[in-house]
Formats: sequence, C-alpha cells, structure tokens
Amino acid sequence: MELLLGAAITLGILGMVFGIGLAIASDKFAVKVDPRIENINEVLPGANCGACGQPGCSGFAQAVVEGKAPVTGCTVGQAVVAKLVANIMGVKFENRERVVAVVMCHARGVKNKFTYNGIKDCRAANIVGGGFLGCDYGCLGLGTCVDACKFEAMYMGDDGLPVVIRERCTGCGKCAAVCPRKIISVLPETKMVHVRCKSLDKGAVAKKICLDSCIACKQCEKICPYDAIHVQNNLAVIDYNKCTSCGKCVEVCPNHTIIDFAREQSLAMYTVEV
Amino acid sequence: MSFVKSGLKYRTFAGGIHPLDDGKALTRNKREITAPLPKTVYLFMSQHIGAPAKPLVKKGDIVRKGQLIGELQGFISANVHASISGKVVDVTPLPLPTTGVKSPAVIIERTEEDLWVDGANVISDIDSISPGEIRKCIQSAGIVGLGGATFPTHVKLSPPKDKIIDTVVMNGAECEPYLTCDYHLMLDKPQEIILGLKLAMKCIGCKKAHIGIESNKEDVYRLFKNILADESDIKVDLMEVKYPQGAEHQLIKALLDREFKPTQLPLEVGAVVINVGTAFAIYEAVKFRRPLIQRLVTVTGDGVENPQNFMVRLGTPVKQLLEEAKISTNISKVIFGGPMMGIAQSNLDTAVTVKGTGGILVLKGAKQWESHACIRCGRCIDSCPYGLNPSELSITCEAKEFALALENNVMECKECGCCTYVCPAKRPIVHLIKFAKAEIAKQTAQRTVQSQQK
Repeated sequence: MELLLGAAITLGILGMVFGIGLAIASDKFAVKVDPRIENINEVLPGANCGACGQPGCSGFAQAVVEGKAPVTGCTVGQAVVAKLVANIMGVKFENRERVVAVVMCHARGVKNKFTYNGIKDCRAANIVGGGFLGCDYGCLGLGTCVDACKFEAMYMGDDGLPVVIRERCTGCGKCAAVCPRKIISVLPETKMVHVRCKSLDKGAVAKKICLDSCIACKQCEKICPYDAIHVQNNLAVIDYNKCTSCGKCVEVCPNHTIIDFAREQSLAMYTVEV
Repeated sequence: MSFVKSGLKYRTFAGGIHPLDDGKALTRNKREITAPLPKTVYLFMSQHIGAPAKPLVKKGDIVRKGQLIGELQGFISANVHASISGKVVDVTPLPLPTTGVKSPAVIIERTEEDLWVDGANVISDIDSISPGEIRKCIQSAGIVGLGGATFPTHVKLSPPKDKIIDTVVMNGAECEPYLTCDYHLMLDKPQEIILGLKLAMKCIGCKKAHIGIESNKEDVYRLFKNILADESDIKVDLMEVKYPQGAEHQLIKALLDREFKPTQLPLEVGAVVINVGTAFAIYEAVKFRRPLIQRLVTVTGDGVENPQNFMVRLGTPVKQLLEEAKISTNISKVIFGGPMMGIAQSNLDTAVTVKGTGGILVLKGAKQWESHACIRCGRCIDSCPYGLNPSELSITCEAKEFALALENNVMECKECGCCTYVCPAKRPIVHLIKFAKAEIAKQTAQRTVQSQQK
C-alpha cells in the first residue's frame, strides 16, 4: 500500500511539473497563425488544382492573407468562393465573370498521316513525326485534356474530340495547359461565338485537309459590325473584348468553322424533344 | 577495356546489344554508284543541330552547284549550299524528315548545266594551310557530323582554350545494323579520309589520332593498317561488333579507356570524335574547296529489290532513290537512318535526303506490338551502355512523374534504343523517355520565363 502511495505521489508531482512546463512553453513559444488563413482554407474547394498559380489551396489561402494573391484568385470556386474569401478578408468583392474551357477544333474528315502505335498521350504523340494527324494544328484526340481535368467536366465525344461540360467546368485551365497544340482556350462563359479551327495553312490546303477548317475567306471579317473578327495568318481570330456574340459571322461562314454555342444548344434541345 | 573472343582481342564497352542478323550482307558487296541527278532538290535550312540557316536566295534566282543559299546564324549553325544548278522555284516551309515539323526549305529545279560555282572546285595546297584557314574552310563548306548527329564540325573543332585536346578519335565503327555507307567510303577513299583526319588534327593542334573499326570490317582495318604502317601517331584498332560502338562515349571508352558523364562532351577527357564521312568531307572542303552537297546513302532493307549505296546530292527526293533501288509494292515502313535510331517517315512524297541521312531502310512486314507492364527482368539495365535504369525510367515516365524521372537521370539517356530492343514486354521505353525529356524541357522553359517576369 505504501509502495503504491509513493508511486502515485511521485508520478503526480512529475505530472504537475511537466504540465506547468508545457503550459509555459506553449504560451511562450506559440506560433502565431493568422486565423484568416484557416478560415479561407475552409471555404476553398480543396482540389489543390493549382489554377490560381499557388501551391495548392492552403498556399493560396496564405497568399491571400499576405496580400500576394487577389481574393478572386480561385478560378475554380468562382464568384461563390470569391465572395466568401472577400468576407473573411473584409474587403469589397467585385464580381468576376465565370470562365469556361472551349475546344477550338472541330476536325472533320481529317485523314491520318500514319498509323500511330505509341503512348496514348497527345504530348507524346505530337513529338513523333510532328503528330500522326493529317492536320498539323488539329486535335489529336488521345484525351490528355480529359485525363488532366480534375472536375470530370470533359469527356471524349463520339467524333473523337473532347467535349466540355460547361456547367461543370471551373475554368482552371489544366486542359489548356497540357494540350500540346494549344487548342483549348479559357474564355468567359457569356462568349458564345467561336472559331473552331487553329489551322494556319493556306485556305486551299486547309480545305483539302479538313472539312471544317478556316479557309481565310474573310467573309466574317467583312460582315462583323463590331470589327471584332480578323483573319491573321490564314486564320480568323475573334477579339473577345469587342465580340458581342451577335452571330452574324456564323451565318456567313461557308465552312461552318465559326459556330454559335447558344444556337447549337437550343438546336440540341429541340432534337431531343422531337 | 577489351574483350577476348575467338583468340582475338577486341576493344569494347560494357552494355550494348547486337542483333543476330545485322542486315549488312544486303549491301556489303555493292560498291557505291552515283545516283542520277535529281530534277528538283529540296534543301532545308535546318539540316544540323543548332540555329537554322538564313535563306539568301529568293524565288526566281538562278543558282549554281555549290553556291551558298543559306547562311549560318549564330555560333552553333551551319551553311547550306545548292546541290544542283538551276532555278529557285520557291522558298517555303516544308515538313522536316527528321522531326515532321515544318521548316523553311529552298526548292531548286535543275535547268542549268551541272557546273560548280566560281570559287569552288579549285585545288589548293593543304600542306602549308594554317589551322585557322582549315576551320574557315570547314565552316564555309557547311560541314556537319555525318555520322547522324549533324553537329556543326567547325564548332567541334574549336574547343575552348582551357580544354587540352590530345587525341582525335575517328569513328569507323558503323554500328547501326543494315548501313554500309561508311564501310564503302573507307574502302574506296582511305587516303582521302586519312588526309581529312590529319587536317582535323592540324586544326585542333593535336598530334595523336585513334581510328576504331568494328571487327566485321577487317578488310578495311588491314587497308588502313597498311597505309598507316609508318605513322606512329595514328593508331588503328579493331573493336567488337556491338551497338552503339560508334557513339562518342562508347568509342572513347573502347579506344582510349577514358570515361566521362553522359551529359558531358568528349573534350572533357581531351578527345574529339569525328566520323569517317566527316573526315572525307573535310578533305574535299579544304583540298578542293567543295562545299558539302552530296553524301553516301545506303538504300537497303527487304523492301527494295536492289539494295545499293548511292552517292546522292543533298535534298534529293527519296522516291527517286527508292525507284532506283526498285522498291517493292507492299512495304510497311521507311526509316531514315538505321533501324536503332532512325526516324520512320510518314510521307514519301515530302521526304528528301538531308546531311544526316546515312541510310534509307525499307521494310516489308514491320511488326507492331502490344506493349505490356514492366516485368522487372532487368534486361534493359544490362543492355544500357550509359548505366541507367531504363525500367524505372519507363515506369516513372509512364506515370508522368517527370520530377522523379529527372532524379533518375533521364537527361543522361542518349536514346540509343538498346533497352527497347531487348525488352520482352515490348515497352516503348525510348518513346517514353523522349516524351519525358520534351515535357521537362517545356517546364524548364516555362519556369525561366516566369522567373524573368518576376
């Protein structure tokens, strides 16, 4: 009994000494963390996609608090997250337009140059003989962008081209970064009219390669009331700052290279209903 | 390092492979013939490693054989000369046969008589010429490494002042299966090659040279031995028949027993390697002031009925050569270079010979394989002449873990293809490594741009 009591008292005293020591140490050597970092981290999507340019979500949270990143920096979270982050930081939040990825190629009837039997990755395929596709600028269709998408917002369509699910797309730009041919652009959601071609070949050459290619006929350039579309290096390029998505160029484009997403969508709904 | 085989002592290196049938028998007894002059030539401005040359001619110009049509840009670059006399039809980007990427090319149609331009094809004295003049001749003649790497020779022969070069190593190995163009060149022009080698030695200012010849070319070895009987400074040695015996690292290891890192250049160990074809081109350029406008090309494989060694003008359409060699109808693959490191061609209409084209290999029934997961048998590790672990590299590259691949020294790979040749799982190891290298280069470039912006 005496033995037991002695041990209990010794341990009790030891516990008290260490306890007091730890209490002092935790107060004296405390690392001061801005609570805002933790708070911001909690409202972020947590995908660690890196689209903000910071090393993951916690990196972004720290950067925001340190003033190195804007509160609207999270492209994935878009307006919702930006608002929450702005609240935590106590700043006024300006609404940023939602951006989505657009695939700028609609390869149709493009023949392959040779049989490619290598690694199933567009980047790897593009270094073999300049790519197996007959078009030097078009989509190789091996789905590297789909693999890169962390939000399941892309899939390979029946025609061998990647399709962006606009509702799910967060505009992080991962797909655009991995595409070896730079076919994918990240653009504001409100922009509906796009030139779905990247070919810089001369019109006659491009026409032979692909049925949907831009042949640089300049019809779109002539009809555009806002001076928003211009043919540069045999390719029509839209200036999205000026474009109002009026769709006039879509009507005159002889090769159906320029398309209006709004019209396509309504058309798709119509066919489904019938 | 030496290897004792059937009583003879051959020099060699560790690793490497040798196919049972190296296909050299197809063209071994075919002496070189001059290919008929092409009607049109397509001369690329980028037939070498480094900056592309700047086109000096425009559409409609009349040029003569040997005329400078592309001027070198920057230090690592090379001149390009007209290979026939005629009219410039166009200057336009065309797909380069080595990469498939479009690159500017001058198209010349033969309209004039095949005469040299003024200033070329004049005999000059090579005994009293100074090293600087030799280098100038080589530079203006647009000579590049004709073994296949196409590194500008004048750069190779201008080592930095702090590096002392004591030996010029000449590569007569021709280790790629099927090719025999160097063999025939050595058989036909041994004197000229040795004079070219001596010019290279004089240019660098070193006294010693070492020639390595694979033991399947013993007749050439004896020929060189006879010619060099009373020259004590130029050694000739037989080497084991093994791929890649003709690569710089393996050649220097075998002949001089010196080793250096795969990322380093031979000048780190006091050596410069030149190919026999390059030596011959140097002789032609210095002695006769003839720029590099033609080379020996082996057209071979089971897809041609009449395999042959052709003396070909640069820029000759491959179709013409294949017709000359009687191409079969059911071919499945055409490769520029040898089967190990050659580049398969996608379009025979646009394929033309460039400075680095030593062979055109036409194959019937080239097999296609399904690749499988690595079974870790380790054969690739045994075969790697650079002591890398291709198995690990292929796995990391397949998983797109490029940082890990970098840690495993992916940049030290020379893409010789030994690992892919021996792999029983038929993994595309070299392709995976090339992919990783391209991606790493892209990322590094991006990072530099970003750091510059900051």
